[in-house]
Amino acid sequence: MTKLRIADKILKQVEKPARYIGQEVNSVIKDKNKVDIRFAFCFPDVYEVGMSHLGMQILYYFLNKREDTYCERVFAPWTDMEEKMRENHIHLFALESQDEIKNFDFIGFTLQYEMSYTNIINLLDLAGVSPWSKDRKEDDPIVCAGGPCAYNPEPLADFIDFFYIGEGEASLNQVLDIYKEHKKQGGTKEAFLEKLLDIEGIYVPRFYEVKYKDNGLIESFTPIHKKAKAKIKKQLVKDLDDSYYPSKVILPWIQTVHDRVNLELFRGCIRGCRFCHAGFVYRPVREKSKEILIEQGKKLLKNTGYEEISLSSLSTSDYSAFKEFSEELLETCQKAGVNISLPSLRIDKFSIDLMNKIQTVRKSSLTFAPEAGSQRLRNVINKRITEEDILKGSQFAFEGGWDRIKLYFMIGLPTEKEEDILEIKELAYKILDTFYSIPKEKRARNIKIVVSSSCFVPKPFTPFQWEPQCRYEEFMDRQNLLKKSIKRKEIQYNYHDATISSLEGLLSRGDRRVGQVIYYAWKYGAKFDSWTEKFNMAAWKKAFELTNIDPAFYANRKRAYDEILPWDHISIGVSKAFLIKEHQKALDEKTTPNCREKCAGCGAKIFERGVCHEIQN
Amino acid sequence: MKFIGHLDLLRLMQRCIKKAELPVAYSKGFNPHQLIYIALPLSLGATSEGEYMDIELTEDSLMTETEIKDKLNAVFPAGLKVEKVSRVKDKAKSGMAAVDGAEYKVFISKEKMPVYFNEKTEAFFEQKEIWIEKTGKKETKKINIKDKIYRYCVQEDKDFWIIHLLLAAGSKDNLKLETLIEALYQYIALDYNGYDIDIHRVDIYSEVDNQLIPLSNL
Repeated sequence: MTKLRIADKILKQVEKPARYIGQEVNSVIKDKNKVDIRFAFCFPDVYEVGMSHLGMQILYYFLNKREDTYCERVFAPWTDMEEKMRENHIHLFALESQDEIKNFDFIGFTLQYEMSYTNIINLLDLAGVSPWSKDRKEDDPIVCAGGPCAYNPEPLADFIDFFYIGEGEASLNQVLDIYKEHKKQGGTKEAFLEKLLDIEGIYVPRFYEVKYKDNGLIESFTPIHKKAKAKIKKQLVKDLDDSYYPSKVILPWIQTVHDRVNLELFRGCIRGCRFCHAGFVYRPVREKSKEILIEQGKKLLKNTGYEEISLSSLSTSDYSAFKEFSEELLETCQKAGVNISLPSLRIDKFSIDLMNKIQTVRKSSLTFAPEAGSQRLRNVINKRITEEDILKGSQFAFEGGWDRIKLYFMIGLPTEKEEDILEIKELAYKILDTFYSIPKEKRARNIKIVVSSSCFVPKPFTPFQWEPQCRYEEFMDRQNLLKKSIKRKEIQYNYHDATISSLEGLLSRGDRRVGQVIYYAWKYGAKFDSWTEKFNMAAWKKAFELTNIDPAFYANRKRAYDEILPWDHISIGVSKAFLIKEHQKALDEKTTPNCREKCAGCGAKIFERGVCHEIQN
Repeated sequence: MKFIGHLDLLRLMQRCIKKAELPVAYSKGFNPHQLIYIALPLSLGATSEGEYMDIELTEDSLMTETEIKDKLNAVFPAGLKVEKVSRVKDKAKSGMAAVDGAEYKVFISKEKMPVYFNEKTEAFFEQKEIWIEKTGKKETKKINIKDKIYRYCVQEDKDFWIIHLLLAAGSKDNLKLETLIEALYQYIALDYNGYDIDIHRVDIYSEVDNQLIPLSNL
């Protein structure tokens, strides 16, 4: 057995020591003397959060399929363990071999949410290397990053040697092939990064120069290496049926958020909700065939021993063969004694019937995400669900015996007015009335409606990328208004402090200068920013003062269409012209049909596959 | 395995039993779960060579004991091993119901211990009564744990003091090992922190005709 990096005596003093020991069922152990490339795959959050993440499990096996590569997992040690590690001068290590990642070839970060950025700095520091790309030495690992937040790589540009833009399965192998060859021949890190300039989808920040105007706007963003591409094109898997999907997943030692088999039905989303980052960057929709899905599901269940399977995609019921697929899956699972859990369904009669069929457990709560209270505002954000749909869906649910409904909304959407907010209350009241309009013998006795609101953060590559975000006070005033208006006792309203969303507003549309803020916030003690109990606003405030960076410039400023945006050199396939058109339509309160109804000409057709071509065939 | 807690071990067992395709029986009702029971939870951080688990099989199952053993061992992670499988017909003799005692070895590093450790430990165990304070929800009770200690012995090794213990365990009478060690440290006037010692469980026992015999010999 592998010798643990951390002494027993320390492990006995920390919370959940199983986070640090590796060797789980289905983890990969290789002979480190027989590989050419050591890759540390870092999820910049704690073990049980990272282990729930499907993308990491896919890429873990994808990279380990290569005989020449040993990909190992690294998570952020919880603060109790970090303290012990620093006290005892223990460097950050990978779970599988328990070796220090300082000696690896690559340290790769997956960027799932902006609030993990300070953890990235912290992990590099714990690993014993400089967080700054320019200060790392020749024999330090190459630090790379990918994932959804990499579509705006600029806030991390000074820390990361290269970004991979798009889905890893598409061309990560090419990167490793070049590296292996490079390592064999010998050469500097800089020379390797130059070689990467030949590959589409790779962004090496050091080969670009940003100039700013006096007013703080970007004056120019230019390649300073002759091979550096002016536009970095997103890489994606064209055919998901042919693409690699693991037949097993690691069984985490401790309970995680998603402790079950995950089936990915498709990538992308046909809906085009205008606030949704994922809905644009993962375009076009690409589906897996029903047969492949059933086969993958069977294999995964067999190899993991899980008794629950979940369907994970952005809007599950948009899968084109959903009815046939769900029937077949239901049959397979009933035979095997496996439960199905269904997230993100559109609530209609079919879904309710389906849920009635699969519910073996007590009826849990049902979730709707109208996102906005008024039809006007739902048109603005292109959430094409009507009040009638919601009330009908609720009625089906109540008649089916459900007695708890959750409603999700966003506060601070563009053009939002007081009336829009009060309509959230109206909608909840109408759902309540729907419940009471059903004869007592046909519904549950009591009802509970939980209304939750989150604070809207404008994201890059969405039609709202030019919009100002609400200020902290505006968010709080609007939420208080709603809070005061809701009087019926069956309705519970949950809202959030807007501090973290405001900071997310800065980071998600930040430019290169924002890297300084992240660094100093970390220096002053910020880490685990997405954990309310660890969040340290004082550290961020000090960082703003020191770097002289005004968060409002990034979060609360309206941008002009002709402004150079920090992420303009990245191409997701969807054109800027389309995003402008969508933004205009939003202001005109006009909706856009989904991809299956009518192609809106967003530009994602260039990828040659997926929903864009399915219509024409 | 010692850093996997009791509930996590139970979850792991469920995965492994399903993966090994054992004909395990399920509970009835809304949320069916496998009918498996671990005889006596082991503290986080402790090792063991004598753990027992009951697996209730479906009535029509024909799988042999060797088959069950091999199938489980094929899916277990490193550090976990089935030594023996035996069929128990009578539920009253199932592991959990049968537990009356547990045997431990406690390793205490000599490095930080005073020279009189051995002597004091002997004196501690030789007391006629050993009183500890038990803090409950409402009040703090004083209880005598002397008759819950069935056997003890202190052995000297190169680096460690090894205390061998056989303690009351199970639903009828139970003494938590950590409670006892804490009382011992208090008696010697040492600070107990819980992480400087190593605990190893040797076996679990059942009382038959006034005699404690290992569950595996039942």
